[in-house]
Amino acid sequence: MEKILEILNSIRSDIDFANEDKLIDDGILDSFDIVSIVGELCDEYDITITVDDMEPENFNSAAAILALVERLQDEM
Amino acid sequence: MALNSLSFLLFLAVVLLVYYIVPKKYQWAVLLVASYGFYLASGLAQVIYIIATTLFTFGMSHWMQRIRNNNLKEIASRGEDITKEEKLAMKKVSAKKIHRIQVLAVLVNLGVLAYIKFLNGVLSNFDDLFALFKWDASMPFINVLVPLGLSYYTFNSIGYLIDVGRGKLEAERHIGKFALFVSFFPSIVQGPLMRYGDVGMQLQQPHEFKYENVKYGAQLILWGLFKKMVIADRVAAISATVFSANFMEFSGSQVFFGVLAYSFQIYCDFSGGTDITRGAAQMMGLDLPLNFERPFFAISMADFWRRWHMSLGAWMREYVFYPIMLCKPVTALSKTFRKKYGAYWGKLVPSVAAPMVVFFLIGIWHGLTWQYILNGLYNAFLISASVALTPVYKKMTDGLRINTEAFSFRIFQMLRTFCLLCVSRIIVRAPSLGAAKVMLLSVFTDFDMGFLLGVNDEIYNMGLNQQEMTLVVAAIAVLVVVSILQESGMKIRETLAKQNIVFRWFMILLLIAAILVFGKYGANYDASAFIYGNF
Repeated sequence: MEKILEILNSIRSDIDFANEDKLIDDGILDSFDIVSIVGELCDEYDITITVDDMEPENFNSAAAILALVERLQDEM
Repeated sequence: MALNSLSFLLFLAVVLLVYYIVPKKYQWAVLLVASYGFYLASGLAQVIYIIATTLFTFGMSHWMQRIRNNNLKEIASRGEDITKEEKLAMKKVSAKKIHRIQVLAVLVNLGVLAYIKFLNGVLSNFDDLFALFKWDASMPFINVLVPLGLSYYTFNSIGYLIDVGRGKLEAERHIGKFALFVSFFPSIVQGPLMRYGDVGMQLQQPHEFKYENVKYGAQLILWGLFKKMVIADRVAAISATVFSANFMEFSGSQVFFGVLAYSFQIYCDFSGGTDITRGAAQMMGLDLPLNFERPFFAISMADFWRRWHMSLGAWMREYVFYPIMLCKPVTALSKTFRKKYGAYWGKLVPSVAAPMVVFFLIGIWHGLTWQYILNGLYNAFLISASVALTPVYKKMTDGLRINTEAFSFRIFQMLRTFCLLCVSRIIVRAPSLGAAKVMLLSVFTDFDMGFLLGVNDEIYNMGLNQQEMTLVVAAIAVLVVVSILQESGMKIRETLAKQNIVFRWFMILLLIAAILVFGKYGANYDASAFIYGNF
């Protein structure tokens, strides 16, 4: 979780990622941010996030992002 | 049958009556019959296209579904006797087949759209191109009838095909229910664009009669009629005067006045139509996607596109923007830049590539003219530039100690966005690209504030007399007040419902009276002229 928070903070330091759980629903992250996050996650965890994974529920919170990463690692 | 015509309102009333009388399991069938009835009213020949799109899309989605189902069955039949790698390999083979069918189906749908919509545009563009070299090519004009709502139902069908291809949706088994999604009559004229997983499912569910839905839906229709008939159709006279063949006669301040009027016209025309559509659907117990969220309050161009034609924005994000941003060449390029030059450049590369493609497509979606293409690229440039310049802005505001959270700064951002949008409006509304350049320059070189302040009463010679102008200004003031209240979080209809009955009905009757008395009617009035009905 710490690593995820570090990545998120490196992209948008102005957001409290530890407590926000509506990052997409409330429009806190825009699509450019999400694509940057996806890029960092793919690099860091050596996973492939495809367009099929671009669902709000996968990016609404740091916990959701962690769950997505774990699922994709598991599928590898 | 225009959405703001009396015949549409009567048609809607009859449909609603039957819709709530029949057993609930047949409600979808009532809407399907009504939708084809509505469509037939626009011409028999046009129905062939929508039927062809429906049958083709339905068939292709089933083909994809069958491949996926067979693949899953095959994997299941192997039971425990299959490794994870084998399972993945089998899934990949099936995904490849599905992808090929999906691409074919999307291309056929797009091909039909492009052929019907753009054929003459392309031919006349060739004429213009050859004219540059003084050749008279005289390309033939081929008379192809553009079916009602072609862009909207084609985009809805493409979205459905991609969702089925991606496995987000199971292909619909009932052709009638699918046909209803493609042809649903309130949204066929000018959207909003809809997702099958959302509206398609709602259309199939039974809907109880709820007074609240009918009341709120009717109120939304009234508000849409007010915006369309009292504001849009009246200010249209100003933009028609300024953006005419006589554009050279107008000073920069008159051009600015014209583009100001056009901004209100296009917003009230399009959002008014959407309100009527959403209101009609709400009366049936259906919740259609939002298309507008007070775009004049946007603080940047990116913010504007989150508030303007939202259903097209969402469609583009889902089916064009993300696929481009996440495709291998773009991610590889972004990765290289990120590794070599840092996060900023890594983000910038896709931020330039994707908006260019998205806004080029949005441009030609509106029409295949150089004006729409240039306008698309102008919007893409502004959005990419704002991403590129974010660190510069940050340094500037920090250095100058500007409080970016202050109300005054927000007003500045809103005005800045509005001015950038005015340029965009001039590009598309001017009679030609050359005229757009002349008109745009005149705003900076020939600006007379006195005209805008009403000195010499010249302002009343721009299509509206003093009386009409007063009426329009008052109507826009109502719109602005309502928008400010909504922006501050107030839900107007819910708030109104909490007031006592006298006030409530006074407000409703006032709105009806305003539409009846001040709405634009008369011999020159064309009830079918919704601007976005042409796209």
